[in-house]
Amino acid sequence: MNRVIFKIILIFSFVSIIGISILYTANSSQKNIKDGRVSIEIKRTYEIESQIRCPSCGGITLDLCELPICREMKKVIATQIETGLSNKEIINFFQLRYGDIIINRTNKFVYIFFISFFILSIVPISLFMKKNKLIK
Amino acid sequence: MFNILSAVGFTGTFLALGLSIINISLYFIHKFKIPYIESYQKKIKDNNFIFSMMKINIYLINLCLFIAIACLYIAILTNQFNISYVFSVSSINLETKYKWAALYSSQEGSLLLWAFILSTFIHIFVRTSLNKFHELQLSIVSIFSIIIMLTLIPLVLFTSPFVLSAINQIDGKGLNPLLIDPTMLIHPPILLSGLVSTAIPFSVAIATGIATKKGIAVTWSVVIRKWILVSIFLLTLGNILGAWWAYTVLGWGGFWGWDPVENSAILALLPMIGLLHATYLHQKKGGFEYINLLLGTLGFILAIFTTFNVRSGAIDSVHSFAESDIGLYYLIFLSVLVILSIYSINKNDFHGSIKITSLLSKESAIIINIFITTMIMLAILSTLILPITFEMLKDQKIILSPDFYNQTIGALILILLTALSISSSLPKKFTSNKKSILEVTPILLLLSIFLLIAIIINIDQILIFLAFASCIGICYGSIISITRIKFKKNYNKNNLHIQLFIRSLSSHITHIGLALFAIGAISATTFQSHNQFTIAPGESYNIGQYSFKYNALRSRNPNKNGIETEVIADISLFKNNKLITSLFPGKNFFTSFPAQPVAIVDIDRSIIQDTYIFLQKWDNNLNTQFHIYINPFINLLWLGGLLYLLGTGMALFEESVVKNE
Repeated sequence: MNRVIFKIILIFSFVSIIGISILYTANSSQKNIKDGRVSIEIKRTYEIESQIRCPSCGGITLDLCELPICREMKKVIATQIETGLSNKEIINFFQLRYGDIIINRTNKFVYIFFISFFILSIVPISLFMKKNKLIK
Repeated sequence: MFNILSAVGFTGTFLALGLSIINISLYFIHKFKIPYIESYQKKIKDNNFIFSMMKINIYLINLCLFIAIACLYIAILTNQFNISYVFSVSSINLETKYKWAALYSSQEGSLLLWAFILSTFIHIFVRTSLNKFHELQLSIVSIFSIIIMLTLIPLVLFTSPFVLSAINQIDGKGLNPLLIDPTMLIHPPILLSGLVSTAIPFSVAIATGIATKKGIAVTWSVVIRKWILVSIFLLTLGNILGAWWAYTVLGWGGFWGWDPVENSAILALLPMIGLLHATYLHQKKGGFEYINLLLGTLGFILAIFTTFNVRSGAIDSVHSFAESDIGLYYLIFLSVLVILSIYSINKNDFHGSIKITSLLSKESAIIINIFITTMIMLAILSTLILPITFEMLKDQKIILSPDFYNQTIGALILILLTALSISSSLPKKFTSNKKSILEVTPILLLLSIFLLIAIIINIDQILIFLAFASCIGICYGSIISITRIKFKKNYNKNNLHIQLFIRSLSSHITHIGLALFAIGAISATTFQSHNQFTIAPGESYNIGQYSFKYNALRSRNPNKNGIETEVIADISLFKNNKLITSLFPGKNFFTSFPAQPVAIVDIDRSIIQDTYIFLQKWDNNLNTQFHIYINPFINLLWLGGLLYLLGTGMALFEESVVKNE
């Protein structure tokens, strides 16, 4: 076999095997440790807490915030789960009380705004590229 | 009340401002004819007096600012709490090493450090590199002086760190708890240095743009390549240290939270990377004058935009300083830079054009990558502007969720990685389309294999698999390119040859570093597992093959750094019933900041994964809540970062040592 082709195949195989091994190990490590000893109620609590932001801190979700207001909100979540409310109903309750800002999800309108801004910003770049004779 | 350090420090900043104004005046005296003193003007122009004076002034500004910052540091070290700044950031029981962090922990001190680093960089540039720009020397020094003046105005007029307190304080409030970490002794100064260093390409680019002779010094970016590399090195190191700090201190198991200030910190890095690659193409093929000017000026503009973001209080972030009026000043500063930039770019008319042989050539691949990098920069910039614009237009506060960033900037990063994987395997010299296609085939094969695996295993993660394949493709392409570098035996007789050798090697090492960094980042974010549980001392909690035994909760009073109580949990970590290690997560409570406890995170590290434990809270019965994060291959991220820095460092070495020989 040609020496150059052999070298290419060798490096390709080596790099690919290492890559696939990393991907496989990372993927399986996640599956192995997802079965913690947690009741369905507690799992639901964590799920809801991770979808609601702290009204004071801005960026942090309830599950990570320890401000008094968040502790109270966590208590309310636990009580509402006990009374049989669904996750959506609980989140809606907080959304009504504190507004959309509390939801850890970006408004669809923001996406449209972002894409428009992005497309508009391409125009000056294209003009520069044209001036630089990169495009004709 | 009088304080000698305060008086000397303030005089230092005041003199530095005065000298910068003198420098700008000298430039105008040199440039424009002033009635009544025309004969005198001619005389000093002939003697090169003005330029010598301006150079001396630059050195003196640096000296004055050194004296000012030394005064402030001595005041912090010697607990002179009658200076308001020292009172607000330090305390008697603060360890000496953290008094260094106190120096830049608040608005006024960090601005002084910014000004000092800026003047130091300018001083070094004037001494080492200015002589390479014959006709432009005076313009460059005057632009430096304008930047120094704009930096010093707030320090002298409204945020001086040398203001005296009305009451003689016995002890200070103490350092911000989040800064009591060894990483914080180097991360802020390095990041500040990185941001400040972009002032060099900016000034040279502006001076080139407004040069009266057309086409003068179009190779400016080649001459200051060393300075572009310095910016890239410092900004990368600063950001990696920031990620390390976030990972080991904040307690949320991640390293990058898409926080607006974090995003701002990488903004200035992206145009510098683009400029480095555009400079390479300019050297090879000519042209690129406008793109170079644009990228050269953008770096510093974005650095000032970052400063505005951090200091104005316009955005909510864990990193920002308190809301202040200085935001408006920085908005004016930013506007001045933008106007200067637009003026200089449009003034000259460069005639360079680029001939690209084929779409499958290395040159076109680099152009595509520069374009995507610029797109990423614009996307990040728009995520920073969006919330402010939204609030102004709709009077509605919005917060962008991590999903938003992953779907927008994440998608662009994926495109960049894929493009980079293809370009890394393209031959340096284009011969034919057929050969280029042959070279790229293994990468396309790799992408196809991973896509197939994704379809079989988990179609939802198809983009993650594609990103992985791209990173592996980058490693493959770079390794193949390294094996192709020929090193002649007579290298010691040929400096150019060793220079090209180091340059090629450094670029491939940097790309491998970037790929490993991306693999680590993707693994640790996509495949991270998070468990949250509450147990009492003596109980265990099992996650898969791991068992966490909670032995005890202890507290003590360290009586240093303002820490009132340190609470530590003792955890034994077992794997398959075999003890691996003991972990000690905890919390520090501070006397002056009772509402701001700081986490003590503990991590069991291995090549394959990190087991990260964070203590959340406990009740009266010591039932304690913990968060456990398993981060697979996160250490590849740090390794990749180090390789990236090694590559950039090698390129810097090649620039500064080999060329000088």
